[in-house]
Amino acid sequence: MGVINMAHGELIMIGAYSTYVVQGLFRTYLPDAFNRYLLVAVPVAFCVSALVGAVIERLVLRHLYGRPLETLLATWGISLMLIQGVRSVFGAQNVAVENPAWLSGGWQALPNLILPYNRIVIIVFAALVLIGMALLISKTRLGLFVRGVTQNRAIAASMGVNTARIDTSAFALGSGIAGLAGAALSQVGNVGPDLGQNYIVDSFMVVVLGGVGQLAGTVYAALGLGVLNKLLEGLAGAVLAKIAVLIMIVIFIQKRPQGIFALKGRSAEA
Amino acid sequence: MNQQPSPQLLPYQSASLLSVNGWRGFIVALIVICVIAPVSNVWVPENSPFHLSDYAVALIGKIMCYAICALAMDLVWGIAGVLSLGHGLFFALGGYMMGMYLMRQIGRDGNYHSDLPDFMVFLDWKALPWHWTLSDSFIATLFLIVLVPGLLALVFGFFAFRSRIKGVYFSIITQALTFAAMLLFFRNETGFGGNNGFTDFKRILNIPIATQSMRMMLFVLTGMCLLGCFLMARYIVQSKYGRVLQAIRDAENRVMFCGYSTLQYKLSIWTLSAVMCGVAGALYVPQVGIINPSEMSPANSIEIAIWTAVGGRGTLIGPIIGAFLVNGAKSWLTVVAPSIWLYFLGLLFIAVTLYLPGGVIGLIKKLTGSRA
Repeated sequence: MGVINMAHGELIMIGAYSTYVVQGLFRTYLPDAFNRYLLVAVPVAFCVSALVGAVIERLVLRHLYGRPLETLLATWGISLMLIQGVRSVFGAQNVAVENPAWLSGGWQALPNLILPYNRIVIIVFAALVLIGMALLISKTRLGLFVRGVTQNRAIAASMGVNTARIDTSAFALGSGIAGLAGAALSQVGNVGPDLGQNYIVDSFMVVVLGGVGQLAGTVYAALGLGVLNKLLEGLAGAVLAKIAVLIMIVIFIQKRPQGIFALKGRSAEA
Repeated sequence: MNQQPSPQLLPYQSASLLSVNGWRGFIVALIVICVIAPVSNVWVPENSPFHLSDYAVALIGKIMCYAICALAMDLVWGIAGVLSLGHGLFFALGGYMMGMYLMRQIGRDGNYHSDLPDFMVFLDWKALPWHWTLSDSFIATLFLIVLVPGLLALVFGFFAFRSRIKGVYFSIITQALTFAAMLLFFRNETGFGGNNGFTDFKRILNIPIATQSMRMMLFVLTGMCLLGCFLMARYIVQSKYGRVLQAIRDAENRVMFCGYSTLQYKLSIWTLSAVMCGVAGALYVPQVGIINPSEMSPANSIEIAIWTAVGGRGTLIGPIIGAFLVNGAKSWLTVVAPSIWLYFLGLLFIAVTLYLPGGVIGLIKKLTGSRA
């Protein structure tokens, strides 16, 4: 859609905070069912983030399609406001999200290797979301419309697709998925107003490397970068590893400016 | 990425550098900075309404450094159409070069009374690392302030522009560059004081740095530097070189098909802009008295872009006004209502991109209905 969303990290944060709120509600009103709060929190996180995303799209991004640099600045502004908003409501400190009982502990794979349940569940969850997303894009009517609008907006519109509505739902969907990521992250990491800021550079790197608009490329790039980063961390320490990865991306871009899975085309304005 | 060329008015066509009114304004600004400000700060008694407080001098001096950055940003973004989100890095690099010199000037007056800067004693280092070799010479420092940001920009820009990284991709890559540099400078091993950075400066050129007259000197120097940069930018925009840059902004492929090598044009303006930022950083550090890696955070670089956008990009005078407006609002709001500042900044980002694509200058032009 030609939108660079700097507020995406903040949508992750909102997902994490919704999980926190749901957890708080369960503790107060339904202490018996506390162990099952995640089952409610996941859809809530999705809905809240999707709603925020839809509002952002309607109010701001709608007017900026096709002008990526402007969207970059505007969404950066949005992210500042979301951070400050969360800070005023929940305070600047990190909040504690408790794992339900069935997620704590781990599976003893080897005598000296314990795989924690919460991480296993997150991996499965991520795989499910990914498969669901791929199915949604390739099989459903909405997915068809989204692909159509991305490929050629004018033709899609003249075929009777309500492109404005598709834009909103696509953006809301993306935001909702960010919310899901937030719900998952709240189980393993800290939840604070600055949560999203840490992910923004990484996620852009992944997209640049994978190629814009390439779901498969994004996944491979994310896995590749994550693994590479962790491997180098063992060798050189966390900070140097990150720097090395950034430098490698810059060098890589020299060879394949459009990412690993570039679409072949003859357009001069690639 | 199919980027719509933004239909903008070309700056006015007059053959001279500035219009008559422009020159008048320029001379007034020069007099205000070089004569009125020093007089009213140093010689006018404190209770007089014409007295300029030390606080105001420090604030305006700081904002003038920012204005140089905004001007540099306008050259690459407004004129050549390359949005960099890494200008904070060049600013900080210039600042660090100056900071290294100032750290050496402390001499044995530090807390540990050693020849080495305090943080090195603290880390138990015995000798200066290699990159501090030149830091005790002021002349060498001046060269480094220009060379370090310039070379980094040249090398990085060469690789980026050569592979035709454009638009948003370039912005993201520059942002990654600053981010990487910030992480690097946060480390103690890098030899730049880790997350505390440099502070506690005592003197510059063996003159105490915290006196009123020294502050005023730096203030005047910054002001003249800002005005000089403005004239230079103006000259660039009106030259043939500047015309080609604007053509690149509007339709790069067409310029390439006309036989221009856009690489050299973009690379040279990008490097020049980085050097300007470095100089601004070097002027900033002695006035503010501290430099640390948070100056390199991506957020700062994006803020430079918003000063430029608020003032009106591609207008040269606009970014300077924008830097003053936004930073003035910042220092006022963070005192009056600290929690509102981020809302305000966020709203500003959105409002400017949505409703004021021409910035303040564009608004004034629209209201007065004139084209110049």
